[in-house]
Amino acid sequence: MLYVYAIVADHAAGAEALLPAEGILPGAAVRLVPAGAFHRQAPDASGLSVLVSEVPDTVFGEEQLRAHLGDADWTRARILAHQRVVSALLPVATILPLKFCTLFAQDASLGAALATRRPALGATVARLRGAREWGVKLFFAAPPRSTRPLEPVGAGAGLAFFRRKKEEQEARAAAEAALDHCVAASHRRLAGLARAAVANPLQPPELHGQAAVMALNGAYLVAAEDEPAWREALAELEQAHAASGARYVLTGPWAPYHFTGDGLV
Amino acid sequence: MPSRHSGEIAVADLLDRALHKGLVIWGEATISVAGIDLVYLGLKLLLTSTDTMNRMRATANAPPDESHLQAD
Repeated sequence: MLYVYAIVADHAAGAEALLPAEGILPGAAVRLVPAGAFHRQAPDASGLSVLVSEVPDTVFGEEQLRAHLGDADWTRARILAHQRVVSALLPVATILPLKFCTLFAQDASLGAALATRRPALGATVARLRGAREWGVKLFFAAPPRSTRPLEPVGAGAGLAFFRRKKEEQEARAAAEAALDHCVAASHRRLAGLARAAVANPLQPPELHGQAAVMALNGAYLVAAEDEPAWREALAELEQAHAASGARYVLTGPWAPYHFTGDGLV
Repeated sequence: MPSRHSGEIAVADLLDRALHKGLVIWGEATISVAGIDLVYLGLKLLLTSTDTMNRMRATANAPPDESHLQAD
């Protein structure tokens, strides 16, 4: 069967030289194949190609795959291998990354799937051409524990307690409002300079591993010509919000995982 | 000075992307991607254990370059 990593467009001859020697499994060669090669009845002039490896169904058959995916070591290695292939041609081509573990039983079924989606794939390529995906995460330092001295006693203690309580509540509300404003302003600014943008669900601390609170998990599709301005905006945001404890983390460039999916499911 | 934790963040980003995003092409003989979806939740927890993260980071020169904007 065929493991399909990505659909590729706009690559020059010789792009294969950038591919890793091994694909999703040790010894599984990675091939860059014109989409038309999978569908003899329907000649394909779309210029699209596909990154594939031939894999045994004793490993990637549905039941076997399900069992393998329960093995974290195995799965980790496969995810890294998938990523290596998907990102290999990023500098020289337009890449439509497919979801991890996209498998076809035969060449013909892959060819048919590509042929029926040719207009949609063409539109997606046009949308992605000349742009790269970046991830931006915004973290805030976790609020420090109050190190307030012991409550005073005696006359006026009760009144002081309530006043302090009220002050604390107001300060907390103000801090939350400032954070909300910073998050919204950051995403708006970065999205405004991007071709497309998405604010993802925030990652839990177990996943991002930071001793800070994630407040924005954005992905941005940025055209090459807009990249300097976009990076500049990010630097400005960082400067503007550093005092309030904001920390921006940039990842990428990624294959445009977040911007390929519309209407193709 | 902020400390660097770029590796963990890149790994988390890679998992989010490879497991949850990307184009879904649905051919007649496509192995059920929906079925695999069911595995993802447990898989993600499994993969994000500290030990797994450390080893993944060690092998992952592969996640693309990334940088902190913060000066070190």
